Amino acid sequence: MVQIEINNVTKRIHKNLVLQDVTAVMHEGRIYGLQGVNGSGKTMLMRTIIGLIRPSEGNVSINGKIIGKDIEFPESIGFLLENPAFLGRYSGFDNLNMLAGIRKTATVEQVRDTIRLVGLDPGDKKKYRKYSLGMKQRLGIAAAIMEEPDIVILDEPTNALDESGIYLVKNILLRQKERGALVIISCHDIGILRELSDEIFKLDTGRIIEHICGESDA
Amino acid sequence: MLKRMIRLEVHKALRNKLFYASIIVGCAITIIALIYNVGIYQDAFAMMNIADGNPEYEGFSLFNHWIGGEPFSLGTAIYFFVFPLLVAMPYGWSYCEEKQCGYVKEAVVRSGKKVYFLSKYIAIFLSGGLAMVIPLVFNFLTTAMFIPAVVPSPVYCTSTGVFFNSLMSMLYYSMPFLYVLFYLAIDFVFCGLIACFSYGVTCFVRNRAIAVILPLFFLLALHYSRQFLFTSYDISNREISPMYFLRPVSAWAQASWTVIIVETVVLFVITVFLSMIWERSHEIY
Repeated sequence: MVQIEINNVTKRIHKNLVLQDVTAVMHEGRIYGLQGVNGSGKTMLMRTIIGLIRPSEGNVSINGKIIGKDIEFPESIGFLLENPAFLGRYSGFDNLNMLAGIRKTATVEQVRDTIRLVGLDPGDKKKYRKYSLGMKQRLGIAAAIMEEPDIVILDEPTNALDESGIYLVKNILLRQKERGALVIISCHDIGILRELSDEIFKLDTGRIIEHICGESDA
Repeated sequence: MLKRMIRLEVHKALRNKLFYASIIVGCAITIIALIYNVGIYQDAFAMMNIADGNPEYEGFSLFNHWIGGEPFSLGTAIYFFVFPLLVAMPYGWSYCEEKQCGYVKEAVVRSGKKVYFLSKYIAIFLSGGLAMVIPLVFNFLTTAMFIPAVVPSPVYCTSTGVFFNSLMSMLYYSMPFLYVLFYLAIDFVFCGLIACFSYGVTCFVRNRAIAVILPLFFLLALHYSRQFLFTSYDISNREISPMYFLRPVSAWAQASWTVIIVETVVLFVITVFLSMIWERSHEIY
């Protein structure tokens, strides 16, 4: 049972309020969409949930454990924030295998399977820096899901993907939901967001201005 | 978790092209010293054979003809000048790269900040220490192929450059292999910390080249500060420049434990503060 509670989170960077009194509760087995224009605070909210930044006021808790106080980071989380982040001098498989080796929650075979799942070749020796944008994005998604985490956070997962890639992402997200993960996504394509999300939080200037149910909930 | 992370970081540090490049460049420089030292050894020995006189075996030993045993050859001068670059080059820049490309986020969330920064510190320390010591060991072994390891005699202290007031001079004239090992250990630790200084610099700079070059400038500042610090008699007895005191024989003033320990501790405190405390307390974007 995974539950994220965002309690009155406000984040100030210098004098700018990037998140203002954000409150939300999220449960496992559901997909949550974050909708908003650039600079509305979607990515910042995701960073706060991951634990990469600390709220100026309020807190985020996972199963009652406050991030930054009881735990440093969520115990089981996979994410893709903005751009995929890997080392250019290693192949896609090597990058993922090294990350999987930190917690040892995914075996080498699982890493290979996940790379295949996103449409890449695990045996490809090509260095990551030579990957196309679409391949980088696919690898980023693979890194987020390879350890089958309880929480999956994907920021603009369809960026740089062609139609088949977008179809793949949709399937992957639904599969994550089916296995009981709590999924949070942001996407500029409102159609995709509504199609996939059980609930959508609409953000503007760091505030949640609307909380709506998506088509998949209907 | 910590063990796995250390293993991963050490793997990344020691199996990368820049580490190999650093070792190759370092060894190439030591070959310049090898050619010179073997040459003068053979010339001097040939002269003595011609003169049919005292061969002065104890004055011509491996211990004063390897790169760490003499302060005057071109190879020695170059090596002990560029070593800050050679030790920072293998992996000192890595945090800069990982921060820039965003990899640090992926690693930190999986391992925790403490484990990540500690394992990186250890890997960079090891890479820096090894980048310094491997070419020195290479030179010692290759020189040993040409020049016998005769135990030096204090009678020839003007040939060896190790005098009665030199650091560990007793050890040098009794157990020279142990003396060399001690010096390699000092060089390993100090150069490991110089590489970590480069890591500390990457907490502030975004340019990898600056992170690699800055330790050299830091040591040069310390080196040339001797010019005005030596006006004080107390300091003139002690070598404060690592470019000199990391050589097993003195090039200028004598090395002293006090200076070596103080500089090592200061470097350790600065690097640990920057990389483990300062950077760890910051948010990751």
